[in-house]
Amino acid sequence: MENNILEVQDLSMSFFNSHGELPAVNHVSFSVKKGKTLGIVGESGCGKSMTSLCIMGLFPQPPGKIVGGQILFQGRDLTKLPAREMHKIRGKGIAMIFQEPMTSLNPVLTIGDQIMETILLHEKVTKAEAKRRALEMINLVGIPMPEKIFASCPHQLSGGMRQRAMIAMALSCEPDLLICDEPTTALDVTVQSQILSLINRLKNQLGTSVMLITHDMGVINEMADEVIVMYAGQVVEQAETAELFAHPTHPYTIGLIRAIPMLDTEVEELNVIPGSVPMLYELPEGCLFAPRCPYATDKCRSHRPEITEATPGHSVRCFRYMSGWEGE
Amino acid sequence: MSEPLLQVSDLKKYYSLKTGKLFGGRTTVKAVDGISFELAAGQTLGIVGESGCGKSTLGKTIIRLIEPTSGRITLDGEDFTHLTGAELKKARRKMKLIFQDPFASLNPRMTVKDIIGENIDIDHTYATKAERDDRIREVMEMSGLNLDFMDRYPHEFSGGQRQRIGIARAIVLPPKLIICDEPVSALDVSIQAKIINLLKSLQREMGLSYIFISHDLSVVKHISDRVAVMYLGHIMEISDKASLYRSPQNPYTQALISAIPKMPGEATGEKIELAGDIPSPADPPTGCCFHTRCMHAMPVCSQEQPELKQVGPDHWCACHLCKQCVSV
Repeated sequence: MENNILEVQDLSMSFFNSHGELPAVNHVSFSVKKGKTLGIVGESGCGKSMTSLCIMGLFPQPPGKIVGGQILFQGRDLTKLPAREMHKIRGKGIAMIFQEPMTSLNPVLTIGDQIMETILLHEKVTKAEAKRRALEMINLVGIPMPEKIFASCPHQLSGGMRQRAMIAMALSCEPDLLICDEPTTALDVTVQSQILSLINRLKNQLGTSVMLITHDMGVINEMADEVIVMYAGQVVEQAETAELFAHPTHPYTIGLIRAIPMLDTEVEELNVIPGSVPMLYELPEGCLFAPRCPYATDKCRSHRPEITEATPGHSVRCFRYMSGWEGE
Repeated sequence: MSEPLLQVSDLKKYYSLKTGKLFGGRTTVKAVDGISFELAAGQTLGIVGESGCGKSTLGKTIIRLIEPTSGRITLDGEDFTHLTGAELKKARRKMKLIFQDPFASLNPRMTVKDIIGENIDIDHTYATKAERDDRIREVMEMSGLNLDFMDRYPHEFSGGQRQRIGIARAIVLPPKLIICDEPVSALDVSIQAKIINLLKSLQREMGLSYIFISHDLSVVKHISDRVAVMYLGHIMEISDKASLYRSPQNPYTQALISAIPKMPGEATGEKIELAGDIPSPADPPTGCCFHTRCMHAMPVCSQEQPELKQVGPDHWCACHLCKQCVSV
């Protein structure tokens, strides 16, 4: 499709170790539209970070290996690109912001050097020009006194400032797609709201598409245009944000939304999902969610459902929404 | 009103820091600066605030893991502040602590049984080993732990399970008060809901009081009866939770509540975006500690520190603006 900047089709990535093949990303398909935000939500271990690392070609390799599917970025399949070509795309075409800015910034280089490094690598510019652009980026992300921050090392900055510096670096070559992997999880709420509105502002200003990975349903609601919910390496539900919250369909999504304490309503007991996320080496035979699902039938325990459209634009991986469902 | 279980009055914890100058001056960090509150038996006091506001230091100072600089802690009618030796040990039985990081707070070389039983062993509560093991089994069941895992080591457990071990350890000698320091912050939402439900049911069964420290306002609202909001070592506002969340008086509380990413169905008022970060506790602003980020700051705010004033039946707020609204 023309207006999809990124299309992931049937992507599978597995780790190979003493347990055998562990499907960390399991037949995942989705697309990111130009200028839009796609939210990926799920609990830890559901494969959301691994999916983004596959796109960047940064997953540990070995033991990881892409075993199927393709990642189409602007019409080119990233899984087949040689390393040299990937270098050109990382940072220029697709940039990424990580959860913990302290561990992703180089502690012995100044912020300015790190931003300039990206620019010098991808663009044919002089050092002076790169410095001017780096300062401009630092200014753009709302850091007061750009010159001072330019010459500071990461440890001299607060968490919010570091995350801003990361964003400045990621956006310095005006990427077409920005992947944010839990960009605000390590930050306080007041700083989180600053960073989220910054990402939104820059998205509109620069026309960047955003892929936002988070475990926080509230962040998804406020940021994303479209959402996919992941569970144990699979996409279990996909819809536009308003539709997903209005009609959550997959039992996992419903459980997840109900487990969050709400600010406005008062309940004595929070809803819980029984059991826990299965380990990759002990995945159940049937539907991956069946052992924890209140509606599971024998069919669920023996067969894996495919993802299908329940209503137009709203897909779900559950037998309840397919013809021939008998249990309840 | 009956005698409160815990009374904290004017509690202070100052740290002395070298400034780094030659022939150096020293500076004090006021981590906890004049905190007073009361906690009734069977009640939960939530303490919220951003990182660096002193909420964890407060928790540890109350149980005297960190010695307070000055102030008074009265537990169950007894002055806890100056107890030493055997008396302190005896009084500490009434107060337990649950930590944030279930990975760092359990000894990796002890079995679950011994971790939970350590309190009993130190205390020689039970005469025979059989009685001791029975008690351990009992609390493991109460905490929702599988009895088959008694002889396993902490690394074999997931985060939620480890937090249950921490809870079992805290209740094995029935305490009156448990200080929970961010007990669910490291957990996924569905696990978080289970731990919160467990804490609430234990409270009902055993009549426990909690001091629940967290940065998550929704979780605090769910579990607490009263809530205190901290900023740079001060209580900015303390109130029963209904009144605090319905009509927050302090501009900081208002900003904090508005900054939470909302789910659909939750009232989304105007977002108040605070500029900047929390100032360094080593160099706090004069006057009201919040005036550097406050949108209502007046000249008086930078000169005079506001006192906690009663603004409602059980609602106190420290802000110069609140002078006008007091009519109780």
